[in-house]
Amino acid sequence: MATRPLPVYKTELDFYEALRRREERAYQFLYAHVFPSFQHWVLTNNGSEMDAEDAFQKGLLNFLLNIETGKYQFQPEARITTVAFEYCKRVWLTELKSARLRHRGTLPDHLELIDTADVEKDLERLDIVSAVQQSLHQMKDICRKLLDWFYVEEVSLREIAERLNMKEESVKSKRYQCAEKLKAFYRQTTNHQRL
Amino acid sequence: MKLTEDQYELIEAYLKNELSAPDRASFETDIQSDAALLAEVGRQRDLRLGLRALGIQHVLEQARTNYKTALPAAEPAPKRLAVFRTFAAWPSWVAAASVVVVLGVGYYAYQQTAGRQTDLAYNEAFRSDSDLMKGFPAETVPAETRITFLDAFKNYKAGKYDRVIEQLKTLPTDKQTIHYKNYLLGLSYLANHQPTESIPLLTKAQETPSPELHRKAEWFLALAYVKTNQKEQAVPILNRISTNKANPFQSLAQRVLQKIQ
Repeated sequence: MATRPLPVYKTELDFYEALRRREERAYQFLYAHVFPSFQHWVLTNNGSEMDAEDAFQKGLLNFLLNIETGKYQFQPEARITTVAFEYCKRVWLTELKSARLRHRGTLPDHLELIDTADVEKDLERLDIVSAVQQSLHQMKDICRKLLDWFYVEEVSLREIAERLNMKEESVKSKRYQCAEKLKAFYRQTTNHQRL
Repeated sequence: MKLTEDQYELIEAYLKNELSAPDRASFETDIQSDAALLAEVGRQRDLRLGLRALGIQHVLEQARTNYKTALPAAEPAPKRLAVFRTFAAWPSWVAAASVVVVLGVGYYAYQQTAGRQTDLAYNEAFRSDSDLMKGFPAETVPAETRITFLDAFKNYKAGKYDRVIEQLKTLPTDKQTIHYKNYLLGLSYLANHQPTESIPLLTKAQETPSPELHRKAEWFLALAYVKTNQKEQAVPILNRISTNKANPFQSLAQRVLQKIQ
């Protein structure tokens, strides 16, 4: 149950590992400790509450994806909440810069100097995520559930077999067929969007 | 390019870094000489990334919902009355009217304060049920119903309580799932800020033979009473929970009792 108080991690490494394992309570801890100060920062830098939430979600998604894929490795000298804040901050700066380009406005010097190239690359990844999401929605229910369980919720093939009352070997073949269908939808989506 | 099942599994193993060094080297040689295979590897990598991101988004969304639920309701404090004349200087009918007004405002302020106390207690104690499988009669439920429930669990975890309510309201009732259905429906109404609707469902859910489900239904029913400011209903349940050492909600119930009494 998620009814105990938020965890207090003994070390930053414990916290990092909990995030890497996608532990819900670690996410809650990160949210509760970073969002209030980030929201304040966005509000004082030309943003609204909605801007803050949007940039925060994107920034954390990038950060957590980088943790899971190993692109961000644990750094003993850096506090995780500070790094997460920085990711979100750069997302908002990227938005401000692109808005400035659209409206030919200027940014204050202290914001202009921050390099957001890395974040822009990370944000491009979110287009892939969105295309996969769209493709998944085009799948039939059984395939969508199977892929969702296996890849999103990381349920084992054995457990999926139990849930669907099928043999594990049949589930494995079904997963292959569903993944190939998903790939076909994804190919169509990305061709359409020219990703 | 249409992959065979073996090719698909090979790419999966490659992307998960599960190939031995010689197999990995050999596969990388194949990729370099086959543009179509290289494109398939890229696409499969994208799908894995996208699906992984969806998993993260689900948990992130849940964290956001929990964060917002835990925020205390921002209500304005009752306005204080400004005293601008001495009582003795007022005509008697004004004094009498003032007493009525002061008592009325005092009662209003008391009601507001009491309401705020229960709100604060509720906001501090309410957390989503993150172990929905506990008390779910998975063994006895037909596969089709089980899939509907698993989908409802997913929606609940994503904070889509409206969707769960819609799913469960139209789900035919059967003997195996009736108590669990009442529980999850009641819990979803409560999480969806509809505590009044949750009360009859959570009350019925307590008829379950499963002790785990009974404990959860009882706890969330107490919270629904707290949320609707029905202290006289909430207190006996909270007393029962807070004096039972085996109840996982014991310490939370004690804290809620301290706040509302």
